[in-house]
Amino acid sequence: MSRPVVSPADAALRDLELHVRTTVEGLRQGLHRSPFHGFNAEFSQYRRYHPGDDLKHVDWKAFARTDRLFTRQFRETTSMGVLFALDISRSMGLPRSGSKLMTAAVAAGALATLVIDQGDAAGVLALGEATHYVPPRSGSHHLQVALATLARLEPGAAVPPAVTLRRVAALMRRPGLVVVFSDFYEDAEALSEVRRLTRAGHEVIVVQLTSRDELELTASDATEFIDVETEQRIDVDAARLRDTYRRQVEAFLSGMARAVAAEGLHYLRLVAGEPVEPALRRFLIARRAASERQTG
Amino acid sequence: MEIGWLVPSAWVGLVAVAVPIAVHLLARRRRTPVVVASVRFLAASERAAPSRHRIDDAALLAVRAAIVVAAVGALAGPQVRSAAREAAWSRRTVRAIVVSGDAAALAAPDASADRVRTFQSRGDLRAGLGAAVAWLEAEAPGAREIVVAGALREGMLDARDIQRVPAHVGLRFLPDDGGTPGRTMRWTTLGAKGEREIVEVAAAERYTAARVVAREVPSDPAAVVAVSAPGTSQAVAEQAREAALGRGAVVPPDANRRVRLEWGARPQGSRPLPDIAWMRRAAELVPPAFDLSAEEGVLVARIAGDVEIEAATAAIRTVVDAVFHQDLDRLEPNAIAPAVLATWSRPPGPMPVGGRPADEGDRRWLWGGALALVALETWMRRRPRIAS
Repeated sequence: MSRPVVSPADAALRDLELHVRTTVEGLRQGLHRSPFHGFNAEFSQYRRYHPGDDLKHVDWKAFARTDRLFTRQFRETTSMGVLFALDISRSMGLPRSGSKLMTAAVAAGALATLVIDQGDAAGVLALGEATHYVPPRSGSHHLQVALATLARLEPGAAVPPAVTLRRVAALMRRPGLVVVFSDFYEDAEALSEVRRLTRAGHEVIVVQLTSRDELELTASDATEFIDVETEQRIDVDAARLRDTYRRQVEAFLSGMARAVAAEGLHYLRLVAGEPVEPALRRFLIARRAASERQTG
Repeated sequence: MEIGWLVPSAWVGLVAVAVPIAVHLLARRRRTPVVVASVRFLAASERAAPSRHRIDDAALLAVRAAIVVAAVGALAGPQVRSAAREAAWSRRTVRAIVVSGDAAALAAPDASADRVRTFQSRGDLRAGLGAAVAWLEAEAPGAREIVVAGALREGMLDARDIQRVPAHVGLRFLPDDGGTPGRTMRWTTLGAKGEREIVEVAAAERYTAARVVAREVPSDPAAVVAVSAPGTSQAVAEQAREAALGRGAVVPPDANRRVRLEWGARPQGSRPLPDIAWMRRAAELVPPAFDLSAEEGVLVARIAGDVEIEAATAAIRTVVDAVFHQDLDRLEPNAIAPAVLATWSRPPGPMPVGGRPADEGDRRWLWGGALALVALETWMRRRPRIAS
């Protein structure tokens, strides 16, 4: 009797599914309601109730306040497509243990699970030597396909996130939600593409990934730093540069957050190696609150 | 309190301080390669790259230099001088014991000295005395004394050797009268007999008792060689003595042999040789030129006519060889007279001012400091880097 063989891809998928399940369960307990509710049934306006209107659209609270019946009208009732675009450049493979890409995959998998569970469509796009593309679809089987694709992603591509975003624009013809995962070290071009997506009617969530190693210089005094993307080498006295570096990184991250907010988009920062669920929950709660404020 | 240095020239080693500084400044520092997502924030601050000629860790460098200084200082031999220490110096005694011969029992005759070292002379008492003087000169300050113990025989030391010992070094002699059994050759002038001076070489048994007993020659049955030479020829007597000593003429304890050498014709009344084994054997061995006879148990060997010194010496040697050589195995000279030893003895003098100071153990503080600094340096090298 032969022993069952577990391929690395299967193991990676199971590992990702475990992380995703844990994260999703935590999110559901914390959110109580679906954070993406309204994407596919976005409120548009009230109108007076006409006999024959679906009673589930009657606003009973408004009836209690005004003693009149109002029916809520929705601008879009079709399911919404959510595409998770992941940067799989070499820098996303850092740190070696608990990489940014791994963190991005867990977050994307958790969000995809939430999206598909509520009947919407979710897809995955990552550009490397090969194109990893799962078009936005719904259904639990499709979720498995998306998770398997996420689990197979390997860092090492020389494709900047801007190129990936241009491909997103080409692939998503209908307005949808694009969740971009990247460390955005090539931020200028990527932001430009994000703006283009926004102008094309897409809603974009920018998820910027970083790590403790990137937030702080933990190296010893005399260190040779090697850029994983360009292989540029720099000798640095880390002890002397530590404060300056920390300030510059913080300025970079906060500048990115401000630039994204200026576009009216949502920004989420995830730190590789740290639990994804708390950050996701805070982000989704804030996002839903903002959405509710917008809808009055 | 003041500090002196035993080896001031060792401070030249301070130039070694330049070594860690030069290594620190010139050596290419080993850099740990770290792969990062982007060097954009590092590249913007390249001016902060470590210089190869910059002191990066002044504290560490200072500790390393201090290690060198402490080690050099220790090699220079610090000596702290204080009033209390000098008072202690004046109270202590540094003693060298020079042992002559097999006087093992005298290896440590006096343990009361603060510092004692024993020198085995190995048959050369002069060399032992010289080694003791050299050792004392390098020792810690204090009253100095040399004790010479063991078998003190004529010829081992003389007045010139004593004069070479510095005046402040005391001298004491402990002659070993209780050593291993041996025999002593004693040369005694018996007096004049007519125109001749009679001298006698006596080999006396030395007992194992505490004292050497040199038996009186006239009544000593073991006195063996008597030389009867012309009274005007003391030189002949001296040569005869030297010859007897040089031939190792020693009789066994149970022997009772006496030989007298005379020059001139046989006197009246001399008797022919009795039937005594050793006398008969001597008669066989002694050259025919000698006229052998016996007088009261003494073998008398005569040579007629004038005798030159060389001839007398040869004659004595021949007789001694013929009579005793088969039985004798060792000859010991006379012990140095107690009166002479008393003349040479003296108490330790006052501690000389200046001179060569000795190591008082003050180096250990600097060596200890150097070790502590090495530990500190190791900790500083391995300590986690703390952001400034």
